Amino acid sequence: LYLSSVQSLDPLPMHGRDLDVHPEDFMETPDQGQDSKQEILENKDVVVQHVNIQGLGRTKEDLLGYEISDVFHAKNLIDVMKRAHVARQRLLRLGIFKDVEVLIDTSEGTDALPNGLDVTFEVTEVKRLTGSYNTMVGNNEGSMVLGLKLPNMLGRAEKLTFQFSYGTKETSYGLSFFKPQPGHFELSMETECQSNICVSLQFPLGVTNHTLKWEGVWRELGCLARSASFAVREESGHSLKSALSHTVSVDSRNSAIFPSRGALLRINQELAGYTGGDASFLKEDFELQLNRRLFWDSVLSASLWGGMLYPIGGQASCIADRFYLGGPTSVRGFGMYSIGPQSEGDYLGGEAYWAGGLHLYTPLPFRPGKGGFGDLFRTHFFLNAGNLCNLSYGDGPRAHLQKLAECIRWSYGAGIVLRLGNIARLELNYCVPMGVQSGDRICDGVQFGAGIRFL
Amino acid sequence: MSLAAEAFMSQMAAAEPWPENATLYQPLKEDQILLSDCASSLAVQAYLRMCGLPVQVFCRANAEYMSPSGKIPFIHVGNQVVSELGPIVQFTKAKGHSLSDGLDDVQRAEMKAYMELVNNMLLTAEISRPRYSSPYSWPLNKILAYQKQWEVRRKMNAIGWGGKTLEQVYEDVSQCCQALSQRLGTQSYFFNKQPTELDALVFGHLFTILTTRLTSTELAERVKSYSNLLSFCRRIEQTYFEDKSS
Repeated sequence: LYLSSVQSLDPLPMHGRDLDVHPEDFMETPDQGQDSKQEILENKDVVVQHVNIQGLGRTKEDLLGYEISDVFHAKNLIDVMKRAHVARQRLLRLGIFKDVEVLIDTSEGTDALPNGLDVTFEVTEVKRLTGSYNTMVGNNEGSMVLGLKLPNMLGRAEKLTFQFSYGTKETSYGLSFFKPQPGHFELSMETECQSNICVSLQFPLGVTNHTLKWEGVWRELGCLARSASFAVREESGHSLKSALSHTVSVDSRNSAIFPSRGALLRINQELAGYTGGDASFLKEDFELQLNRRLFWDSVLSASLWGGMLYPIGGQASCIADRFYLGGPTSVRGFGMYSIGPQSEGDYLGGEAYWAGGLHLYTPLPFRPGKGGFGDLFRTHFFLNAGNLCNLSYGDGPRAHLQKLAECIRWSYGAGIVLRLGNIARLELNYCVPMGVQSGDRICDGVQFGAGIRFL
Repeated sequence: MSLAAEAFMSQMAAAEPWPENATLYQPLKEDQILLSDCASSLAVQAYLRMCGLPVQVFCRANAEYMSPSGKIPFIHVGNQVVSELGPIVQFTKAKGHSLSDGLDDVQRAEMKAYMELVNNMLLTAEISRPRYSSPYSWPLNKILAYQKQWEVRRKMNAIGWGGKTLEQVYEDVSQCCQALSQRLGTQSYFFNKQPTELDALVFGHLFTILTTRLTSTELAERVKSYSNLLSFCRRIEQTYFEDKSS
């Protein structure tokens, strides 16, 4: 039995969820006459005796043991095919093979059982040095990325990448090193532009995914215009942030962009100042999203964000560490980051915030292009709300909660959303902002947004 | 903002009187401020006191980056930010306070020439004395200190002082002081009986050289040898700086 191979388009491991890719897609629907034969195949018990990998050059075998171990547990032929397919996906996801083909055959040899099977993965390794050209979309910015990569450097899927990025907001370059240990953890180290170092360890624990990270950042803040307000001018200069952070996330959604069921909970804390540096604070933030399918292919989605920044040691918080609210990716209907404390038209951010959204996604009316291009679009109706404020310490938590509950900004509207790949989306909305406080800048009417993380 | 808009804004601001809460920003005194910056800041403070304009001095670690031109000191008046002595003199003139109104054109040109002399000689002599540590944490303090030294060295090379030895620098300072001493003669101030911005500038630089705690006091000795400059500094200090404490 020969499963067809599909080229891996993206050599980087993709963290977005695959949408609707199941092993069943690769099965051909059986003809009527073959029903009996199909039944026999399905019910026949098999034992997987050997799983081989052929075509390994510099890759070490112990790395792959975890990915293919599941195939041994298959009980019947269809199960073998399914598990082999999943193992193939995993091998491709390591990013060290150009393509993987699966060969399932009856066992031969002296110890062959009558119902024994041999599964062989025929792999083609990637070259030692590859180049790439990508475009990248962030929150309201886009960039072109040129990369030079050494995949599978030492045989255990280590990857060293040099990237140069030229974008709408900034130009940067960076070096990164990535070492996965399948089934256990992933270690990565990145530096960027001589001003940013990050070492992170990612590992699963039960249903949760944890990330431990140390980050050292040299920040230089400056005024873009002579007319910048003095409150912003006071923050100019250099500062060094050395922070430890921990993120735990539970994601049961079936897709990252248009989920139709499942939930996401992500909690992040960051402690700066105890490993050196000037900045000293404790930062907490969380993200919660719930999705539920309703009548007629429409999906109801609710999301809640919140966070708090607690400066340690008596010094005031830095403008670069505070939270910002507003814009096409958070509370729609308001200008980018244009909610909350401000001075002479410049927004200073806040130390505590919350934001919530309620969305109803439906397919395009009259469903043009169904099954193809039209599936990338959705119409959505939304209700967003949020608030941002500073904390004046010594007032107690009750006073802080009260401050966040008064003068809530909110907005409603409708628009069209387009999915880009599996990671990003574009939105074009008509918004009506309400609850506007003096000092906020609104964007009522049509608002366009692009990004990877939306409220 | 375009140049025309900026000019318009400063015209509008000129119409407002000098507020009570004007502030002056300079780097930290203890371990950050360079000799030349200290002299410039003192010169501006002396000038504002001579004009009778109250100003409060704040020391900030990031004063250099807060300044719109990157140079210190700078003053924050109303919602205007102005840095360096030259622009500050212009700014106060627009508000109607000026010390050099009584001078005629010849004297004004002479004043400008002497100010240039002081800027070229004394200021660069001060720069050649490195003294830059940092209130930042490691490794930022090392990196910024190296950057600063490299910048200063580049500036020195650009004006041709790169190859000068310390002896030559001291000689230049002596000559500058001699020129100033000759001009001052036995007068109280450089021009007439009223102080001008030249007095403020000379005071700022000489006072800093005399009172700084450097490893070598060679510069201070050279200045002290001109007694009329010494008494000039003392006089200005007593008139404008000590009445604050009394």
